[in-house]
Amino acid sequence: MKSRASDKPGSLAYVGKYLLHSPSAMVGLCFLVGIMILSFLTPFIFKYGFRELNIRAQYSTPTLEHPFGCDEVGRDIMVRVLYGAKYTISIGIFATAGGGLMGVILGAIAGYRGGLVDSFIMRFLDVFQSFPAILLAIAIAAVLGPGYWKVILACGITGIPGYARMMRANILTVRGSEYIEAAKSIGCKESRVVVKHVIPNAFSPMIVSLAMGVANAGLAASSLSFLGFGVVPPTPEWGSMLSTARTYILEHPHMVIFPGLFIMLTVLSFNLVGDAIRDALDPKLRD
Amino acid sequence: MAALLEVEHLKKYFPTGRGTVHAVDDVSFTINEGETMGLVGESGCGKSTLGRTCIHLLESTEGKLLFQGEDVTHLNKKQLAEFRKKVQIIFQDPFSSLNPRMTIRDTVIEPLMLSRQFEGAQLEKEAENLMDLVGIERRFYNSYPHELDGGRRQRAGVARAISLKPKFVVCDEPVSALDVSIQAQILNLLMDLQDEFHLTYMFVTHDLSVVRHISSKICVMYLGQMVEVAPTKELFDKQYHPYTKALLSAIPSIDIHHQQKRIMLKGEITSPINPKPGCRFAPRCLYATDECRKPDQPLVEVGPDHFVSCCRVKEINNL
Repeated sequence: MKSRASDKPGSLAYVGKYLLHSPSAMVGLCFLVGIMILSFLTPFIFKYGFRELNIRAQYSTPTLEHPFGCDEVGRDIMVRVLYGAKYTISIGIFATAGGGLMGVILGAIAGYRGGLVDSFIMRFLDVFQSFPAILLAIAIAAVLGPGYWKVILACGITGIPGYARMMRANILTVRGSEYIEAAKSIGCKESRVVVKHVIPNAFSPMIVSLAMGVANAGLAASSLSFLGFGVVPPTPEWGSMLSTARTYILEHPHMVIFPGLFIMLTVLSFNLVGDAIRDALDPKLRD
Repeated sequence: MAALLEVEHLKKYFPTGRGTVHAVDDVSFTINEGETMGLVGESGCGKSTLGRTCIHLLESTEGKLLFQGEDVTHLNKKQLAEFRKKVQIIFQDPFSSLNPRMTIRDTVIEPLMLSRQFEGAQLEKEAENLMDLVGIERRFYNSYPHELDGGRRQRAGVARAISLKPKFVVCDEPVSALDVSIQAQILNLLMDLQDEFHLTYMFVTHDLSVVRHISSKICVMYLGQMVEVAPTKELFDKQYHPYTKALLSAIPSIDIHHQQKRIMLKGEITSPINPKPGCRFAPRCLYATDECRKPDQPLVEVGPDHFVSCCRVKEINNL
């Protein structure tokens, strides 16, 4: 019955196909998948552990032995950068998933119920949105204290208002369309109207913004760690590595360059994938 | 013929920030079984709102609805579910009336499944019968709406509407979004289905040639109020309300020897937000007097089944 689903723009199969045929998306996807795999395999591939001190290699510039050089206590930066990848990337994904889920639920309720419920939810979210995003994340992280899950919480909460607003707008568009009226007239219960007709049609534009949101959340996580509110040393999160390294930026720039480079590449990869998903879902937006 | 739907003093108001929109204001009519009532009027006059209010897609503000003699003005959930099986609607825009994420087959199956009258293979079979009946080819069963042209999409909308064998179908401008050649196909389909299933239609449109073709009775609306109702043939022969006259004079004539003089209305449509009492048409009417601006305008019977809402109808038409 669903044999032709892949032909339909907007279906997951179609998006998957599109990604496979988009070179830039494949570069991004390969980078992300590759670095994630490496990140989990570091203990088995490299002879140095990410916490292994080696005072003789202190401040070592990149060599064959240490391709990215070593830090102030002689830890291998390449091992640390690769090991740390899973933190930044997973924080980005979990924060977006959590924040996205909350946002979608709140936005859907606000959009579908309307009236007082809508006003209450949206004014509540306005309060959150009135702070600059990173300031809000810092405030939340400062209250909660540092830690992996707390960073996810901070970055996730920051994203909720944006997703909720977008979901609400989508719901409003879909709710007014005639196929919703048709669904009511053929006798769908309200729950069926929402689950079967409203949500599927309102959700697909969200996929793009969620894909883009992962990059933002990852970046926010690194920023928090840089500022000392996130994942704390010695866990080699990229932001906190940058934070330590910045003291030596003039004498030993390689300590800053590699974590910074990987933050940039990761954000870029997420954006490339996000761009391709957007193009696949909405051909009108393509440049 | 027995009356199927009786509408008495129906009102539908929408509160807005700038006042109350009187979308449907004190409309009464009767539709008999097996009949097609055409509902004509210009855009924004409340035709679609009236149609939707009659089948409980919108709840009426005031007035009474009788369906097969039963009062259906206020229904609880269970009664509404029963009522839904007897009344259906076909929408204007086949592009937006089908869920873009459901195949044609799924769209047609959904009401059958919800009715719980069919199961499994029987469900599939019934859906295929329906699609066959409305003329959707087998190869389109599993297509998504965006893969079909307007005519086939509208056929899917028709199949969905008749799937539960309703008594009464509101056709909300079902052909105005289609090509003229396809319009004819859909109209013929609707008429065939009417014969086969003994359907009663309320046919909302602004296309006078379509309404003349399909309906047995016509109701003319202006700004939420009914101005004239009459059997089709009679209405096209002789109009009594100044608005109906102006409306019908706008039909282009192909008879070059007896060119009909077009009545041009002056002024703009007045706002339906908190309208002044009296006849809604009075500000644009050539014959309006102070009498027309008084509340509670009468509905005058000028012939068999021919009613006009105009207090000066007899003077104007020398009756």
